[in-house]
Amino acid sequence: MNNLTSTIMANHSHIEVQEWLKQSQAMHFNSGKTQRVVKTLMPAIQMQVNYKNLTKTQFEALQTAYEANHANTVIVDADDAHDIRPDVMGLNTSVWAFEKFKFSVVAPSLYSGKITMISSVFFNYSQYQDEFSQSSTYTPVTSTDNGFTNMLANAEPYQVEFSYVNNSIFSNIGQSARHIKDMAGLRRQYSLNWFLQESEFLQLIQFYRRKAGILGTFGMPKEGSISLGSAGKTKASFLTDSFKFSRRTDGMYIASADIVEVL
Amino acid sequence: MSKEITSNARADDVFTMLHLFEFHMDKNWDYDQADAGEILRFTDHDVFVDDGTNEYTPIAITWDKLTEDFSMQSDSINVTIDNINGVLSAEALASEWRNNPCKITRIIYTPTAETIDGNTYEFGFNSQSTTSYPKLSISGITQDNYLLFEGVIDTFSATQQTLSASLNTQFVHWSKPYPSRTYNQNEFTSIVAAINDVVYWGQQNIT
Repeated sequence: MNNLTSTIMANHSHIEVQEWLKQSQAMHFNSGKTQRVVKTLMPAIQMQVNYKNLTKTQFEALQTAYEANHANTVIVDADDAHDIRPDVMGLNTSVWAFEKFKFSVVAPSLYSGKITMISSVFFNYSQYQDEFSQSSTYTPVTSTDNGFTNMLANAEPYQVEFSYVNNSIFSNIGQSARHIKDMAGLRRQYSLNWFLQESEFLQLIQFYRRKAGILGTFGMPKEGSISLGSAGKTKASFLTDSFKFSRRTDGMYIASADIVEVL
Repeated sequence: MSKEITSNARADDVFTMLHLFEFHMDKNWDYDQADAGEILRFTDHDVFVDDGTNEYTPIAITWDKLTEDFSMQSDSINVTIDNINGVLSAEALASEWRNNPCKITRIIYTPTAETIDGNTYEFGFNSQSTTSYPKLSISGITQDNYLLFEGVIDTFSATQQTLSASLNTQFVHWSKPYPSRTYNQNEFTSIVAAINDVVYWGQQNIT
């Protein structure tokens, strides 16, 4: 099992935690006159790790870690979340599963966002791991289509948001995750926001109208915007009905669209 | 077996409850208890549970609420197990589940105190085990232990996400082989004994 402690905990700004006591409930006896509370100590923890003003390199380290581990449990020694498990049972029990990954970038190219993780009871011991193997696969389809990047050269978004469509299935015990089944098909999802002059906006809406229908795929730059880099393009499509715009009284246009990778 | 919770398995107003599940696989149709096939053992606890003899695997498992009544009607429940990686459905389809014994045992105990980093928690996790991996050993703990359900597996169905099994109590066989007539209370015992000579659990008694 991969230990992502240094990757996840590096550069984080703050952590938000919700903790549950597992199997906590009340039982009634004697027609409700007597009540006994059922408790165990081992908690379930949801940890939201927040990041502010990351560089592109720092962001991509997190992105790579998520893509390689989105459908398997990982070890994170989360002292900042006051996870008691490594103290009681050892580091191999400080096991977590990814729930959400959401970042955004605005000029001048500093990334902010959050990663949400849930504690897992699928501990890193062979007795726990034997019957249920886990793996994560991310295999995007590359594209050589330049139509979208050519349009972006004129109609540059001022903000790009990054998230994922994750198909994996979780098994749960209480609030904690147990093992995960990778159903493959992890896809990046982008939300692009524009603030444009009319002439640039017309290029955007024309591109959208040509490509928004079925089979309308194009090459999406990995960084979401060509000014943020050009590390290759993957096959992508507009999410249905996701394109919205408004025209201001001064003639400027505000627009947004969601784009998702297709396989 | 008593379903009373004794005072020694609880302290003040707190106790812990867990359940142990046993599903017999691959037994022959003669229901010969000595002919032990593979027995799947699960628990709804967080970690492995060891009762001194067997080890129970923690897994996401839920079951219907049980009901009992005075009419001696057969009672059945549905048990649902997470099956998200298909291991269990592969096992289920390769084996014969139906008519095999199953049981659910309820364990109630008071967790003992535990000291972590110098702080004493009144009710600890305390695995009480010497194994390297997290495991709860309940054999040495004061506990109330009673059979919640015992019966046979009737049907099962598997999807990619869950495996469901319908379990029937042994009483289900009261309604199958016996003639549909009313017996006098006095002759009932002898009639059942006579039928059991040739019929056992709904099948021909070949022992």
